[in-house]
Amino acid sequence: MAKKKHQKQTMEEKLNTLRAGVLGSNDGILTVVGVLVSVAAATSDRFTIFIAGLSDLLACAFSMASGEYASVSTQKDTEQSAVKNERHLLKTDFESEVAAVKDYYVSKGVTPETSLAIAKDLLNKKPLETVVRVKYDIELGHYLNPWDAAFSSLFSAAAGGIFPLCAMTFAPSAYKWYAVILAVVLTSALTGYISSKLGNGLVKIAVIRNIIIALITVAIHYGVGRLF
Amino acid sequence: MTKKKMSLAQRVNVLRASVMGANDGIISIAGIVIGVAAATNNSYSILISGLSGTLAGMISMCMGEYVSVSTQKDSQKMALISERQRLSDQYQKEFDYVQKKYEAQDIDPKLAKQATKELMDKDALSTVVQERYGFNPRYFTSPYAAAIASFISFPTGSILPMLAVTLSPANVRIFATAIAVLIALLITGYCAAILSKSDRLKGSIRNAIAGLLTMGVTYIIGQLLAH
Repeated sequence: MAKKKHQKQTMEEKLNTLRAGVLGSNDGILTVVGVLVSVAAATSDRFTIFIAGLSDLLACAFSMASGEYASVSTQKDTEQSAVKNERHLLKTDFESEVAAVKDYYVSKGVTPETSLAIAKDLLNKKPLETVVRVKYDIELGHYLNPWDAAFSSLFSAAAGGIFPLCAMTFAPSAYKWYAVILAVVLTSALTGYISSKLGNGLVKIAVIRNIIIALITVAIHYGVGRLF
Repeated sequence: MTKKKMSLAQRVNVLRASVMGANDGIISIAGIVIGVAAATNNSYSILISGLSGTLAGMISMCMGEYVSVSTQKDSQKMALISERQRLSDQYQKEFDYVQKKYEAQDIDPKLAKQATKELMDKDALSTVVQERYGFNPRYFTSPYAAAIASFISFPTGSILPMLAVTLSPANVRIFATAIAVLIALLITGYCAAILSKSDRLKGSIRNAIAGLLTMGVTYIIGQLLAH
């Protein structure tokens, strides 16, 4: 087994996780509001609407979390099988490993001579890390903890979905649609704002885009619900 | 070489997306119908909730994909603009940055410098953007294959719990759905493990447990609210 020190995530990776979380909240908002609107357009029974919305909120959060858990764990498995493969290849076919590393640097734009020198240098110093990085784009021991990934998406999806659900449940009957739409628009705008602040700073575009997307989603669901 | 690597990355991406999509469809719709079935006996309510959930899942997946792709495109555009500026203001600093990155891979400093010089002479912008932001402005990976894959697999997965809950007799509805879903999750977990060459047993059991947990939680909540 390779020595697996659990390296700390870089700042960039942390930001990525955070941004993924914000986008996950957006997913939660859109799914829950979708269920609320289409169920409510089909039936006026408030209990059914509420139960459907709540079940969807939980189901969405859990399925996202378990999907995230599975995909991060799969990455880990992929890494393990890559390491096994390469360890074997390094023993049996060292020349082709040198060539693979050389090709990698050539494809980046380094001249063949320098690439070859780099390949020899690296395969001398840390052969396994190098081939795994070059061939599979995996940094050894540099993966997320699957539980972290699962909890952060569970939390973010649930956090997003709770707003429209609360608006639906607690607003007075006469205003409930306005309340739901308002809640969705506000939370979508907020997720757009946060994600663009974390990312690239194009705040206005992101906020407007998210609001429009949310309104389109509500409209589609309303239309479909009316068909039932 | 580059081409081969791209298609591998893309394949993994599409694979991941369709597995996650189908799983998502099965687990989340199972969660919804079981939650609602635990709270009410009304078949119409159960069916409506399941259908709405499927639709909502598909639409939010679409919209979510669109938002994340556009966000990424925006970030990449901004990265190019600011990097172009930095290259003209402080070329040497950018050069050093790339060299440091290469040295961090444990390449001999002399070789790292040589490689950096070659790269920067050839295409300074692509090189620095690649090292700083991790994407290559010359290749854009199309996200649509992955999006389409999950858009198809999500409703496909959701059909199963809906059929199970609709077709089975009312008194065993929840139990039958849970069994059908567990079997399906074992299968998808197994397929995913084959495709990604990972541990099959672990993959399928992990998947089934996730489904069981989801259905359990929504069942309990549904039961609590029913009384």
